[in-house]
Amino acid sequence: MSKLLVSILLLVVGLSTRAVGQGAVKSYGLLVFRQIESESSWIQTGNAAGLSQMPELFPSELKLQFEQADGDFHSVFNGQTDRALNFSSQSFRKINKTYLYGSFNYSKSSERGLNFSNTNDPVLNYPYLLADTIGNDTYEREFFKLAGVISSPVNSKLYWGLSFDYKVGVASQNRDPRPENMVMQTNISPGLLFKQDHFKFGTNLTYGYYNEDIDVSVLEVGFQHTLFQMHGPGVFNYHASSSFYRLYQQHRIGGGMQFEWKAGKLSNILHSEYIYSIQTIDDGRKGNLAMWSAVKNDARSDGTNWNLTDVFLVDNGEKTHRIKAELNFASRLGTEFIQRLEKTGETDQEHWITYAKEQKYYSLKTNAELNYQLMQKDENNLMNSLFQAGLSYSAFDEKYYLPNQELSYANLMFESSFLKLFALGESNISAEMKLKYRFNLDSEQNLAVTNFMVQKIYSPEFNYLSSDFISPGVSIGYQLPLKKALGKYFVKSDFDWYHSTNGLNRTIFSVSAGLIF
Amino acid sequence: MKKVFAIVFLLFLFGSCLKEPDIHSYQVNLVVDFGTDFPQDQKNGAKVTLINQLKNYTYYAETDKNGKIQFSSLEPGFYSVTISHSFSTGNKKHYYNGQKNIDILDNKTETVEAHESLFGALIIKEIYYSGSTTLAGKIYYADQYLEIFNNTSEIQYADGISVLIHESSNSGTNMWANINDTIVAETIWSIPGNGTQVPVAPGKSIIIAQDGINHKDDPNGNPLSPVNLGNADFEFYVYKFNNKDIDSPSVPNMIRDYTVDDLIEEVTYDVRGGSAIAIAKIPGNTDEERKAYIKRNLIAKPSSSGSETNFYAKVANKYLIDAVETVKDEAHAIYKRFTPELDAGYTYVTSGSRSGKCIRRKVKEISGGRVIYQDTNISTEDFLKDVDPKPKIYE
Repeated sequence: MSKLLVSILLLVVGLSTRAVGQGAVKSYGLLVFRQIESESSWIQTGNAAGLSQMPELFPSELKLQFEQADGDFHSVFNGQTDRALNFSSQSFRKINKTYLYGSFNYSKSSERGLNFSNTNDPVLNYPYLLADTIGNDTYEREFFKLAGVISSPVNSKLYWGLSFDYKVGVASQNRDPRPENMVMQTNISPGLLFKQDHFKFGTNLTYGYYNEDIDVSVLEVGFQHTLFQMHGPGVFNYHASSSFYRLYQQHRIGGGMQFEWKAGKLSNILHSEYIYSIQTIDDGRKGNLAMWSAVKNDARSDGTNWNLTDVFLVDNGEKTHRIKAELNFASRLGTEFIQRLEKTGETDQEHWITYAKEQKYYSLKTNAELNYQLMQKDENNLMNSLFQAGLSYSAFDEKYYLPNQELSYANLMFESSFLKLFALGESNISAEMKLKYRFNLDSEQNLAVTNFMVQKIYSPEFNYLSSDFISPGVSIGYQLPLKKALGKYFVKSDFDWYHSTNGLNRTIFSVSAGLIF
Repeated sequence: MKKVFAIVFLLFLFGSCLKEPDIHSYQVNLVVDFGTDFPQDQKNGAKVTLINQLKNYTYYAETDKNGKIQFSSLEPGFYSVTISHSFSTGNKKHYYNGQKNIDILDNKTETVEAHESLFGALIIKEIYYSGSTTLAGKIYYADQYLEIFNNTSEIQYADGISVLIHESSNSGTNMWANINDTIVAETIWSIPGNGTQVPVAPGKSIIIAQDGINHKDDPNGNPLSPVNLGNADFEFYVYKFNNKDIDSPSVPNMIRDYTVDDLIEEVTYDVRGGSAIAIAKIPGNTDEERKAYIKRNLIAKPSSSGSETNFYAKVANKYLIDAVETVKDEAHAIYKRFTPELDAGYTYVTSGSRSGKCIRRKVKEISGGRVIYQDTNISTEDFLKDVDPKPKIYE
């Protein structure tokens, strides 16, 4: 792993040096990536061909970041504390008429005080989670991620693009029962964009694959541990063994369409994306004390995610107003396999025989958001202040059938932030104030079964997701020009504090340092 | 062009979300077959337990006057049905039990046979296994005992009744679970007698002590022990040259039928609650015949081999009279060993080892001055937890 890291670092430094050597035309500051994100609606659409519609800003960044989250206000599936060290680099480039974006991220983290989770990403795998009841675990993680986007014109009216990302890593716990999670996630998405007068029309396809291979072992000789295979609120199977295997595989396929109208200072882009996903969850056990070793199909989860977004932009040069409205629906349908281990064939070998496949779980998550943004730029067309205010409504309803379990809630959240860049001689200071306030509109639990899993996991998680909270935050950055290069050195610190109405708190603190050029 | 956009938009809007599940639920009609001689007017009120074997949850119900019961809205799966019924004719109490595994993948009607059995006549009334703490702060567990109670209105004879401790220690999955209708014991000790020498009067009990002494004031005892077992009816005694186990001269010894380890120095229950305990009437009119039966039914532990091979005793469920699933704690309930027809629940001393507390059956009723203890075959409901040991006190 370390050889790979060194190789990639050398590659990144090499590319960066060449980029600097070619001579960047602008001196970019630490707000430039926020500016690109806020200003370029096409990059947010997911259509790689839209990269060619970005503003003429081509910064690069090398960054080292330390982040720590600590406190009681967190998901049941997260730990009390989470410390991460990240090294990342990213760069926008334009070579002739071809637009390029590349990024690399290395992350090493340690999550402590973790209960009820043996999966690396519980949100992605919900509701089909794997957990033991041995608490106060520590998850150590090491992940790499590479991402790239390329976009180029085919002719004066048509652009093509391709985006790709690849994430791989290991998460593991060093205490019985000790899962080792090998995770691989990749996405590829080709896209096209057509320009005609005031109009632009784009379309893209996307395919993604996720693989999480969990190998749970027990080192203490003669000991077995119980692993719970959850199927929904309070519904689970369990098996005790000295070893256990689980494999999550998810395929995602979908696409999007984009339509933009632009006239003078005004522009409007409407885009939509639809993703269908199929996830399978397979289990297996082996070892001296295991009663079965054949792979069992535990469940299958089908999902859809539909997003509709409209962004209206008024660009007055020094001031840019943006209004964004977004609607998102995510639904999940869970199917369980009713199987029994039976001896079959002449050899009397045991196999899991499928008797039925039953649809048992359904959830629908709805999110509607309205956001206003005001960006002010200096004479070099670089952002020096950003004000944002938004209101979002989210609702979640999940149902498990027989025994009938239903949990639902709806929240409203207000978010606002103001970011300003101050000149201080040759250096600059950026300051940002943030505020989030969430309050619950409605929550309801109708549970036919209230077992210990409901009491320990689902009710606390429900309370976390539906509780009111307020979160003020502050971010301070300092940037200093480098003498012999056209870049800037920066140091930045973020602090966010969450306080829920049930008295729980969480602080998230990060500090980062790096170069922007 | 506008139409195309409109159609695509509507397709997205209405086709974006998955439909809610197309669920299946089934209805099961159960008929309990009590046999041809069973009185028609007693078919009402038999307890029916339906356990989903995949997910381990349970439904409870009672039969109607025709011995029928209907379960509706059941999810597909594999289930176990347990029947438990008792009634009196004159002075005689009758106990009927039945069990059947059924696959519910469609609406169906099933017949479950129930047979009269000894089950329920002699019951385990109390188990004290947690032990106590000595003045020196050490653990003391020689005061453990088991109490067997006659829950009927007739004299029952305890001669030849065996006490069994299950092989699995509640630390992991019961590796013998795939042997149907049988438990596997690591220890079997039996009450001596020719069949009429150990009568147990209605509403009375016998005490089987680890050591039959007054633990409170005996020099070998523990002043902090909660019990006097000097009047125990029987005790476990293992002769060793080091005299580790006390042989009380006033208390007869149990017969050692089988222990997996010849070198044991005493018979103990797990002070943390890991011992699943049963009483049984193993076939055999004499001690020799009973031991011979046990010898014919030994089974090797799968994980042992060669000279290290350990053998344990298989005993068919039909010979068991009562069984109590004692576990270490709630988390270890998943390592349950007795099948639902033996004990559909579990129990334990929540205050843990050395607490001096025990588990005891709840009193169901008092009939003519005779205490009748609750015996629904579900120890979770039948037993009180963390009570003070009260051997031969019925309340």
